[in-house]
Amino acid sequence: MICYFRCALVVIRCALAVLGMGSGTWIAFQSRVACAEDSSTGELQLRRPSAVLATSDGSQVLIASTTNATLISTDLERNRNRKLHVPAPVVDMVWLQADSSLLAITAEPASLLQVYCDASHRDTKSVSIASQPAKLAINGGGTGGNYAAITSTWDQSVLIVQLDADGLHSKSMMTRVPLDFPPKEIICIGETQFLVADAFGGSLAVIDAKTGTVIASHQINGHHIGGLVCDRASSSVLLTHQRLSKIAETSFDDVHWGTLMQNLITQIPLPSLLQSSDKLASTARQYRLGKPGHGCADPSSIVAWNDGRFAVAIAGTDEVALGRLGNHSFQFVSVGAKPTKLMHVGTERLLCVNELDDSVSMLSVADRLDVVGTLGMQRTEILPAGQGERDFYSGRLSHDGWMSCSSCHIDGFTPDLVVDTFGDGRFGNAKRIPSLFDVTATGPWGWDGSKKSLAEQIDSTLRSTMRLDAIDGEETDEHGITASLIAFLESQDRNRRRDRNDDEVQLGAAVFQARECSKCHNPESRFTSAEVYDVAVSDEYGLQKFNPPALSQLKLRRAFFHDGRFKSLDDLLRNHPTMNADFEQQELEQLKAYLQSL
Amino acid sequence: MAAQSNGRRQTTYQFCSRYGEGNRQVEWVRYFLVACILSASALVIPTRADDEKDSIASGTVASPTLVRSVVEASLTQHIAPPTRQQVIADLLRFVGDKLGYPLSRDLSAEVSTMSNVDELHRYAESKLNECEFFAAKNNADLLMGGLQKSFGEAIRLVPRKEQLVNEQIAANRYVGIGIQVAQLNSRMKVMSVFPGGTSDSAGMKAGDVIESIDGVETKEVPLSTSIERLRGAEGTFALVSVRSAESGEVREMKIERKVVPFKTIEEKASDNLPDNFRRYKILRITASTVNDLTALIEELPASVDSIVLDLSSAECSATAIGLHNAHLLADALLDEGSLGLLESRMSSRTLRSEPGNILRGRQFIVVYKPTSDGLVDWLAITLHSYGQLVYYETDPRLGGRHGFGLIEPDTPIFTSGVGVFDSVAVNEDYFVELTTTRLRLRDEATGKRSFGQTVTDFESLIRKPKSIESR
Repeated sequence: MICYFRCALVVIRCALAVLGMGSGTWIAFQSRVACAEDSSTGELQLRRPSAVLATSDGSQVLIASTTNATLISTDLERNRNRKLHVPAPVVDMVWLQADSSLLAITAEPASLLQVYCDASHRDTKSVSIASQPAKLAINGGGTGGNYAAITSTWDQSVLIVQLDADGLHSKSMMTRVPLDFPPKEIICIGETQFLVADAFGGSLAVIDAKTGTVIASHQINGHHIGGLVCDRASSSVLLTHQRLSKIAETSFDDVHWGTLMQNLITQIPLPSLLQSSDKLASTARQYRLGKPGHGCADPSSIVAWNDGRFAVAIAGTDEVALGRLGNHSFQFVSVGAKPTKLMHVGTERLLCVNELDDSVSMLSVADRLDVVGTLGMQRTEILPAGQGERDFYSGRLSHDGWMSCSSCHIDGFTPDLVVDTFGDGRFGNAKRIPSLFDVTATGPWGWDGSKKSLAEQIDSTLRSTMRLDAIDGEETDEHGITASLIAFLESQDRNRRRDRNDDEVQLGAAVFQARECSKCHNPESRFTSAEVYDVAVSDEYGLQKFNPPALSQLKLRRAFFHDGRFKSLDDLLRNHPTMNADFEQQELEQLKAYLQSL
Repeated sequence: MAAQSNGRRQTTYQFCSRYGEGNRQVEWVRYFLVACILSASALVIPTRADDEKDSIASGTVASPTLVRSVVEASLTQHIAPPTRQQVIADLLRFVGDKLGYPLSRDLSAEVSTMSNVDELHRYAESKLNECEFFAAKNNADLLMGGLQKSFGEAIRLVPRKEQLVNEQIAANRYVGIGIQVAQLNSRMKVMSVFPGGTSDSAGMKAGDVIESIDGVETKEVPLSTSIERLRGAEGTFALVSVRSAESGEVREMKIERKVVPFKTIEEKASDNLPDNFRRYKILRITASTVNDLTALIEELPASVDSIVLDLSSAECSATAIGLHNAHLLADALLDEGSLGLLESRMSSRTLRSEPGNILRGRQFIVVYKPTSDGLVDWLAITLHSYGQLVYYETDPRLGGRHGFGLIEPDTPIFTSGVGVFDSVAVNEDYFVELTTTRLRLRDEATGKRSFGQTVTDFESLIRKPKSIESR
């Protein structure tokens, strides 16, 4: 009975959330959920921690998890843990009022919570939001800001939620700000300005929460922006990202010397960010992470202190690096698997969330960088898919740790860059990085369709793209790694929810059939087929027959075709070399609507 | 057959052969330079006798199959190959002449009637047997000489071992024990020891004499043979017996073979440059050069706003991998744009630079010598075409000119571009090296440009940064 009631509530929330999608809508739904607590002592049981906060005196740590609908509050002095039950697993959280209340976002169902963690025992407030959230930021820096900004990668938008003195209230105004890129990381960089970064590529946008508009857009020379921090002392923003060279190739030499994949921290002065300009590159300063012998795959979260120091979590090599502005040398220390979130506690301590290690590392940054403790226990039994997930995000699978699978196939998707791999047995013919969505069911593999099994494709990638030689100096169990990666990729394959299926989409489906798109992109086979087709466009070696990619999340894609020559769906459909592109405008819009719904 | 088998470019490190021309003398110089300058673990100063004994192209071609493979690989990969009939006729005529078996005057006519590949090679095999080619000493040289007749350039047979060493050098990952040696009085003498290398750690000193390697004496043994014994895979050990130059004592040393990184850039401090300048001398363009230059520039204080990039003695082989490394360097120095046209037999493509550069707003002046390697010329001219100030100096022995701008427009690079060599695997043991592509300058570089308007004194100019900016 209770279950039915809860389901009904969720349905109502979703319906209201859909109604609330429009820009500048007053959303009138708010629920209150009791925040139950229980306490324990001893070893902390964490599962996939996602975010961490500390009280201002550093005595207590609050940890969120993406698998449990609880926040764990740990009293570090008394070694006592307290569970705060919340309506759903928390993806990200920030202090609203330091030490007393926080804002958190949950993915299933998508909601924004205000959780009280002081002694007031007030109920958690919850507001449904329309789209699956990724990251959260507020202005005011934990002193009761008046705007919360939530990124939604797959909705390609930022949701601005207006707060009042008590935080969330029954008529919180929500404004959806659409973007022309899929966002993820977000920080506040001014009174009401938020900087939002591309989840896959190198786009940046500055949003003014007061007006709900994008006030500046930028493009950095890079991709996979993993972390942002506003350094007030230097009046600049530091961002971590990668850069994949279009000129370098995946030869051993270019991987070894860090020419192919660079892992970078870029420092951009705030004034340069606040207005659109093509001079961003000339004002930015860069710090390279890694050197031959020690790559630093997938730099992610970054924090900065007022004295010029900054720390970076390096998700691919399970390390934290400590550096100083103006200096290009770093101290490194090993932490748990996939560190993705840092939080500094005062000037001398640092917390690091190890997402795939079920732990939070406590680090000292006083004299030298050091791990001084760990919260949580290491998982003792790891299933193949879990091991595969670790491998997918691990730079140890590449020579010297320069890149992980996720450096190019970010979270399984694609930044749509081209890279000159040895996939077809030669260099000099760069190809677009494909999305891995549905990859296990969409053979053959490789742009030329030469790999008859996914294992063969993965083996080839490990050897000739990532230049895997040995892991920690030991002979690699390549077969085991491949099997684990396949298990992980299989666990990710699913029929993704389509966010629209209206008349226009239906009409577009008819166009798709009528134009014989389905001959190569068969809807029954996840929009691909097990053949290669002549696309009437040769690569550098004269190859014209290519493997049709599965079609998924096309609305977020920025380049199409094997060499990425088409930069939009419009461009592709109007210039497709083997399709009759003589579309009526209406027909084109219908077909686009259908493709964008996939 | 694909030129790359393991993902690395199968290319040979090669000096000289500027714009694709080569000859026997050049061959020797190349060997000398490769051995002297680059092999790090062994600076070889070979005697002429050594060179003859161990010419790179020496070796025995024992089977018709290898001849066929070499001919076919050359025909398939060369940028502008002659006909198969012509190649075979020239080869047979050359071999016959050299071995004293003048072949029939009708040879060309006979060959030209054959269009079937098998038939042509069977014919070639019978004629080579007739000349006793397969029994001839150093017949690989004969084969290459014959092919050069039709291809008109230095075409080379490269043994796999040498190929591996060349790859290591181009990648700046040479594996050795970190010494330079020479053969003096039939003894293998250590000329210098790489600081921090494994031989240095073992206590070897310049002047010491290596008496044996892995139990095999070095006395009277060709230097290249001893060097070969010193070489080996990374992580393996060489057991060397070393006589100390100081004490005369002989010691056994077990020395690990490790990567010996070469310095690719030198910071020149004695230029009397103003404080806002730095001068970097590029010694060689390898896979590590961009990384090395970036590391130097990262450490510069913000007050340094001008860089003198001295390419005047930079080495960059005109090979596919040399081109790749030069392309990476050009990309690091320039913002987005075309860098030239790379033509191969089947297609052509524009080399491009990506947005962004490593200089971050600093101006730079290029110093180059127009007699440098083809790809260095290409780099300097391309930088010039993007508005970078280029200063040239010519060899004082050749009349010594210098000035801002470029050397005279009749430089071959303006008309024919740079011939780029690549190595094509012919079988498990050999590669054949020949011109597979040609790099032409970007249109803007061949159009508006300034040639040798000398006069201006470089030193005085660089002391006045403002006047540089105004140019």
